Amino acid sequence: MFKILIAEDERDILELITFTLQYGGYEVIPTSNGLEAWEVIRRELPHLVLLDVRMPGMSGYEVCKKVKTNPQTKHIPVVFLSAKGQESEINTGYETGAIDYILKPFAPDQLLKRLKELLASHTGEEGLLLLEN
Amino acid sequence: MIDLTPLSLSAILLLSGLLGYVLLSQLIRYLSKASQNSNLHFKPRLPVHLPNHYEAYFLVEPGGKIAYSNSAVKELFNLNGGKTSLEELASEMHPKESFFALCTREGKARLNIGECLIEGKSYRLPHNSSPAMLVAFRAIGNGNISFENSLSSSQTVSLPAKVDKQSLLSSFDLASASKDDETLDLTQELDKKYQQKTQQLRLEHQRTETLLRIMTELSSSLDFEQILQRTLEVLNDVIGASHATCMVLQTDNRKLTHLATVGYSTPLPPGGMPSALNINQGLVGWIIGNRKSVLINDVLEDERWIQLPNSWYHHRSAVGTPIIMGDQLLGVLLLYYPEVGKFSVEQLDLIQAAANQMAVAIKNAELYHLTLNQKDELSTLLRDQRVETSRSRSILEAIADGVLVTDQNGEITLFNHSAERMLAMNRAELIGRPVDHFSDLFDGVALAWMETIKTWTQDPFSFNPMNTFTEQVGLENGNVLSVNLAPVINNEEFFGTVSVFRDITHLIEVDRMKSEFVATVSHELRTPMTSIKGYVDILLMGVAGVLSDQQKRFLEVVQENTERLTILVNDLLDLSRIEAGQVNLNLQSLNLTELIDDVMLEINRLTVAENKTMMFDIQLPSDLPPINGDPERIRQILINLLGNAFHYTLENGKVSLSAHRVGDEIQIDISDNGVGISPKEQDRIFDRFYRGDNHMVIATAGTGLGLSIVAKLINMHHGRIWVQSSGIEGEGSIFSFTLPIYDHSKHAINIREEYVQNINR
Repeated sequence: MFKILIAEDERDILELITFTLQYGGYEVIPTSNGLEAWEVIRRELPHLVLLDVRMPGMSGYEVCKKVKTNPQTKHIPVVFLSAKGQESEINTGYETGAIDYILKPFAPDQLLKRLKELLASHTGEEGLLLLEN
Repeated sequence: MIDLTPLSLSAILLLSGLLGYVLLSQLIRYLSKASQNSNLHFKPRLPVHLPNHYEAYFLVEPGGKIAYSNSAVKELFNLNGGKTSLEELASEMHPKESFFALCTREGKARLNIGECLIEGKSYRLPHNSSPAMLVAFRAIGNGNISFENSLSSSQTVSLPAKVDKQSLLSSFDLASASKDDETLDLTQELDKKYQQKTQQLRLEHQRTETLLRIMTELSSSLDFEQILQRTLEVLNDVIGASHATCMVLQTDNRKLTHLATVGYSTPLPPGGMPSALNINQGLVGWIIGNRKSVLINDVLEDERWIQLPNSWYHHRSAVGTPIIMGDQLLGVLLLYYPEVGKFSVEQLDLIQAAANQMAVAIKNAELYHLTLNQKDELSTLLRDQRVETSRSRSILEAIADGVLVTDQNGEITLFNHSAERMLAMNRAELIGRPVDHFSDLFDGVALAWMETIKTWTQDPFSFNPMNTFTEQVGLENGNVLSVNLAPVINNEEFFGTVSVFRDITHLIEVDRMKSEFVATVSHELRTPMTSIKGYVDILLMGVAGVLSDQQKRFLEVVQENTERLTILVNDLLDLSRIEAGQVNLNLQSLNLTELIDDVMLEINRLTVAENKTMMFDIQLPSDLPPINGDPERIRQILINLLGNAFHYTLENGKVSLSAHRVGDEIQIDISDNGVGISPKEQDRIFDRFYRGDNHMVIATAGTGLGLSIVAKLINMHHGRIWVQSSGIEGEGSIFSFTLPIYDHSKHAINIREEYVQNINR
């Protein structure tokens, strides 16, 4: 089963995403700020990381940078899920190493569909195997 | 006086010769006096003059016939007795041969005249008699006369044989001493003539003197009216009229003005007094119309005269003359007298001469005034220009923008207070110097600015109106200035350049704050909407439990409105970013056919979602060249326009899309048979928030921002958008827009540069 880490400071939204992903059949690791997220990522090494951008303590961009610069974690695909929709903000997201930038508000079914595609193309043979199962 | 007694016929005959001689001698006496002053007795227009003291004369034709003789000759030679040829005359002379020979001598003594004027009387010779000879005589006492022909050889001959020498002599003596009545009469007559001649001479002299005084007056002053007044007075001193006036034609040639008068009780106002008569009325009118002088003995008997009602003056005599310069009529000179027959022809001559001098003076005055006016106009113009220049300078000094002006040589001529403040520089260090001084002040932008000034100064024609210089300059203190540079060109003459500095630090700060605000609002609105939308969607998916139909329907209402809210927020943010210039186009070669296929998938989803059947007719030529555009934005444009066509057309309607090439652009037309747009609304539909008041538009969810965004995006692509619609429901509307065709040649260079750069890395 795919393991997806979520970092989201808004409690309601964290619950919404967690529910949606669990419904989609994923193992979900919810975290509520950047610092916590980075600690858990290093420990758990999830298949994919879904980050909010604006969070207290450490922003999503910083978490992404850490993931992408750490040799142990740099293979993990990072996706942003943010309400920040300015062109510059989206560009920064890609520049820090994310593979996608999904804008809030989102439709749960669309989010699941997108994540499935991303996992298929970014997790190699292991991913394909997991998806088939 | 002795009473004249009738003389017997015989006495007359006896005395005829004597009388002739007496007459001759009287004439000689009179004429010799007169001729000392002038040749009044003869006014011949001859190339030859009578020798002095020769008073009796006749003209001889070549055949010896006497063509003309004056009365003195007639008396002397008794020509009345029928002698008409020289031969007959000569028979009475001693020596006969000598007289005859002298009178008829052939030679080169030809007068070569056709006309001669003798004693004021014009005498014309017969046509063929021009080779004539003039023979003149004079008395030399002792009964002899001297004569001379036109060959100037003199000769003395004796008196006619009939007249006894002695008796002639004694008769002469007697005549001078006796109280012979007839002789006395003649003497008196001659004296009278002499007096007349003397008077004539005096007049001539006076006339000359008056004209001299007039000329002196005319050149004495530059005050034109004063000149005319003095001249008229001088003239009238001689003429002695009771009233005189000089009228001058106004510049429009329609009215006359009295500019100088003599004898009238009221003085003229400055600038003169308009004449009561029009220029075609009365005596004045006649003078002007005919350009001739008049001399009227009694105006009351002259039909040209108009007696003005209420006139205090009772003129009878009048004399007038036009004042003419070249062929230009300048005015009229008129003199009056209250008695009949006052003026003479001689006086008219003098008045005419004075008028000629006045004409010169009037012309001179006109020229003088013209010069004076031009001088005034010029000085006014110069003063106005000075005022204007200092005003312009004051304005430039006062405005809040910094202004720097350079002249034709690229040197700074103006650096205003605002510029001093903004750039923290002192004008005293800059005025009169080239702009090079700024080189160490600014960054690279300043160098470009200075180079542009130099380029324009060296070659003003390098300036391209499309290519003005506008840049932002960051200062060391963190302030930001905008620099606007333009050449000053008037009538193709280069005067220099003007640079306008504006402190835009605050504007940039405001712009940054606006962006921040937009970003914040964007985030703050989307966060709650994420929860609403997400949970409603989850509920509707049924994954959180089974819903009743009613619950499902209510949640769908929430979902739809959340959707509207999302679109509104997205559109608002989109528009504010476009307007802030924060949207950068990702331009690339785009295949319209592929793009439209993709867009139609989206539109089809829309028709399914809204469960509304619509026919879409897409007509694209197979050879349509690729366009240069941002795929996401072109997609946005097409979805918006097709979505509008779909929404504002009734079910089972038709929406058509076609494209064709126009020059370097592709024109895309999207038409429908929907509600249409009334002509009065067509100007406003691209305005923000404008939605029109059609029932179908109101019933459809929308923000009124879609077309506004579309228009701006097309504009960013250097395209145009317009709409055609009759406004009649069912006829629909056609939205057309253009996009530039992708230029491979331009792009090839870019690719090549990119390629080279990549290789070098």
